[in-house]
Amino acid sequence: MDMNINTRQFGELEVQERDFFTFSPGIPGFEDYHKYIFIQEDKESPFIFMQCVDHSEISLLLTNPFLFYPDYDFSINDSVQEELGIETAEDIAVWSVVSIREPLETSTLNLLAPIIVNVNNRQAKQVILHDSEYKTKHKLIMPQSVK
Amino acid sequence: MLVLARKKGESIMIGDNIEVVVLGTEGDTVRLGITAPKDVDVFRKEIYISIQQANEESSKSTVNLAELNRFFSKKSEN
Repeated sequence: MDMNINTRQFGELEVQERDFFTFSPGIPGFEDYHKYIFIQEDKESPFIFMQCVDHSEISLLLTNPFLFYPDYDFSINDSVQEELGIETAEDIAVWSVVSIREPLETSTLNLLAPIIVNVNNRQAKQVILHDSEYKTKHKLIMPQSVK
Repeated sequence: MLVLARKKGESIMIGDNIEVVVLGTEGDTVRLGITAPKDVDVFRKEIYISIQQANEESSKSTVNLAELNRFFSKKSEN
């Protein structure tokens, strides 16, 4: 079904309900909102927007964490796999929440709470990694520029 | 707030399927064991708050995607 939603970055957009991702318990900070769409404006860009369907002002910036931290590593526990209906590794997409700051090199990404998506059934969850070394604010720096 | 005194090894029930047991204390630190259904997420509160803040901050960020892409593609070519 087509419908129009208001977005923070792109104004009014026509979207299809089958493109929605469902976060059953919501995400921390926005617990009352469950439906999001992922907007990739530029296919070459490492960044996408996670726009809330029901609230135009809720629009998180996400990126592929492995581009910035190739050694990023965690396991998804059984209860999360069950909750999202994950059967194989191919079902999974991983995104991290980015906070943009000025100047840009002080921007950060959250490796402690990745967004885990089952790309087949479009169920998603922001998972908090217990007892990991990761934090909510890692520098957003391409690995090549660290050397 | 309900306040209950518990000794090491004693527990409390929250509803009929969440149990919190006091495993022991070391100085100021109390070690708790929590048994809850799979669909109940358990977090340290300060960690949950830090993730709330990061999400809110991300959603408030003013993003100029073109500038951002330029910045990070320039960096990756170095």
